[in-house]
Amino acid sequence: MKFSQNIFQTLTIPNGAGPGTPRMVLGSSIPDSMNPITNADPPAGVFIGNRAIAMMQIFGTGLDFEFIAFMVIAGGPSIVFGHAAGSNTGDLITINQVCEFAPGVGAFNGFYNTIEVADGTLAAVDRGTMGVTRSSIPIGGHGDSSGTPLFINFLDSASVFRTNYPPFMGQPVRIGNGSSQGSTGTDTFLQIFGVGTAANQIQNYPVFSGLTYRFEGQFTFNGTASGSGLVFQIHKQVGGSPAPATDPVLVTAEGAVGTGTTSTNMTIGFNQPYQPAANARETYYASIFGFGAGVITVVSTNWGSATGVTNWSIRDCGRLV
Amino acid sequence: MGMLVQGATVAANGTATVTFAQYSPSLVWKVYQVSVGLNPITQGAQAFLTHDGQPVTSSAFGYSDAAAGDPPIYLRASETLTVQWTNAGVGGQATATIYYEEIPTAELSRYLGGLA
Repeated sequence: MKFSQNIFQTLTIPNGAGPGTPRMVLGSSIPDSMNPITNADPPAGVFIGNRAIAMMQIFGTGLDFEFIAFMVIAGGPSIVFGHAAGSNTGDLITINQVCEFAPGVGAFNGFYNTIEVADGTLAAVDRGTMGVTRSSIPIGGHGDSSGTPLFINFLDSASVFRTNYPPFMGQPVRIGNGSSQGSTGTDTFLQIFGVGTAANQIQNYPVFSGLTYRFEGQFTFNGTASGSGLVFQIHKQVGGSPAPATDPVLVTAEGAVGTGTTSTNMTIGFNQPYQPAANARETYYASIFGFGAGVITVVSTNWGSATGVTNWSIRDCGRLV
Repeated sequence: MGMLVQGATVAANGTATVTFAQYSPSLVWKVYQVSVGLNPITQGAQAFLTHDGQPVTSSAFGYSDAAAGDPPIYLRASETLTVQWTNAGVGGQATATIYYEEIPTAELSRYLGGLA
């Protein structure tokens, strides 16, 4: 039978003990018995106040020591990693806090919690910060219908580990339309695959200057007359809604049904690099123009097929060296 | 499982003592846990637990702590279990609570694996 705190009773409490002696100190300050602290000292536990304890370890030479402290500061429990300098007798010991992990708003009681690393904005995807909130790390990319970032989900009640999409890859956008797009005897604008919904757009995808991205995908259509074809384009949306006439074109791919052939499926594939000029969250959409004779029908049966036909996405390729 | 609470007033020298004893030769108390407390709380108060005068364990948190775990303490007739506080606030109330099970003395050997 033992008291729960009994472990500390295994340490002696010398008064003014010399180096090399294990010691435990009760009180609110580091007393003489801790001075001097040298590299001959073993690790020790130091009570530094009510419900607070610091564990220290001497590294290397000299009189400095490192410590990990569990304490209540700034109104909440904290774990502090620190460095203390100057521990000769009579010295005023200087404590330098190296870093601190403290619960954010709310209780530190589980996975639905907030952990701050550095002082960046929580859940930010900006450079130089990292946030963990609500058991997810946002890493950028195309997300759900609300346009929220892509998530890796850690331990939660639903799964051990889950990632919605491969890191840094936008969710593939599948497009299709089974209905006729009409005659394309002249260059005719046919359709914008982007009406402000996540299903038809890649929205708020974070890109960084200096990195290279690629738009990939393929697009299948059906031409009912020989020579019919279309131009597939991916645009960067500048304003609040798609404007294919003025929005920058990032990808252009073209395909046509062969002469003398009718009712034939035609597939356009593309793999186009893209290097953004500045850090930004960008929104992309696709459009098609028709040309030639005949009627164009986008093949909807391939929408979401397991083969991945008729979809497009953006992929982070990192920094080119 | 039974529970027994006893208290004592902290003396002028900051000490207090609570003693548990059982007097039935036909029974043995198997004590699972001893909880200690001080009112008001006194930082730095220590608690010492002894069994029939022999030290068992102690705590630097005599104002609120609990001793438990193996081995349990078997308190036989005329034996005592004592909690003593030091550095407690003068005039304060020291309280100790034991949680125990009564065992017929004839069955004690079964609890101790035939060693008693």
